[in-house]
Amino acid sequence: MADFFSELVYSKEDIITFPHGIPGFEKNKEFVLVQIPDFVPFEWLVCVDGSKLRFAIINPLLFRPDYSPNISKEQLEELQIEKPEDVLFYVIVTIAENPLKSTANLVGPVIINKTKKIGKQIIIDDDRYTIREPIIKGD
Amino acid sequence: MLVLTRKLGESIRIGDDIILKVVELDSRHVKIGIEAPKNIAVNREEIYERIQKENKAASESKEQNIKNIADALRKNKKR
Repeated sequence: MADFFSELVYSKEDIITFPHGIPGFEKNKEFVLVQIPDFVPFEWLVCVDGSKLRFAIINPLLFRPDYSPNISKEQLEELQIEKPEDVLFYVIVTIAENPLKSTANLVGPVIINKTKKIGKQIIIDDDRYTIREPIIKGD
Repeated sequence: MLVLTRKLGESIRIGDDIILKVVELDSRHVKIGIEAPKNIAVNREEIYERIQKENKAASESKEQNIKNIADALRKNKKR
């Protein structure tokens, strides 16, 4: 399969800065959001620092419409959010051996201020959600 | 690792603006109050480690597999 990301075109204004990276990749701070029709409803958070780091992400409300983690004001402060329209909300997807059993990390949502281009993975303290929440229910 | 002995109600200050206070004690648990600047993330170590590990696993997800599950999700929706 072709590497969709090797010739990725983006402009400087597209770069979203994660001031602390994300846990496990604390040094990777610059990402762009990529939508490719083949992967809908997933999107990609692609690191643009020359590493091949990328994450498949999804809007959690698409498979968990009731997802509403407790997030404190302090956790969001850094994102400088001024209005709800600034916010993009994602969770990171982990593919299982059987892709249909793949999961999303509902304990570590990724929140992006699309106006200011700042992002952060927040760790929530909320027993209702797990790190490996099945994306497709049943079976 | 620096190890300090503290009694119930006593604190430790780290740098200028981080304070850890022992607020409750029993034989197996200690409750710690934390005051830190808002830009410092405070998390239970084991949760941070699990998120790190999961992010590493997520970064290894193959595109073809993501495509498979994307197809399955779109089919589900149509049904």
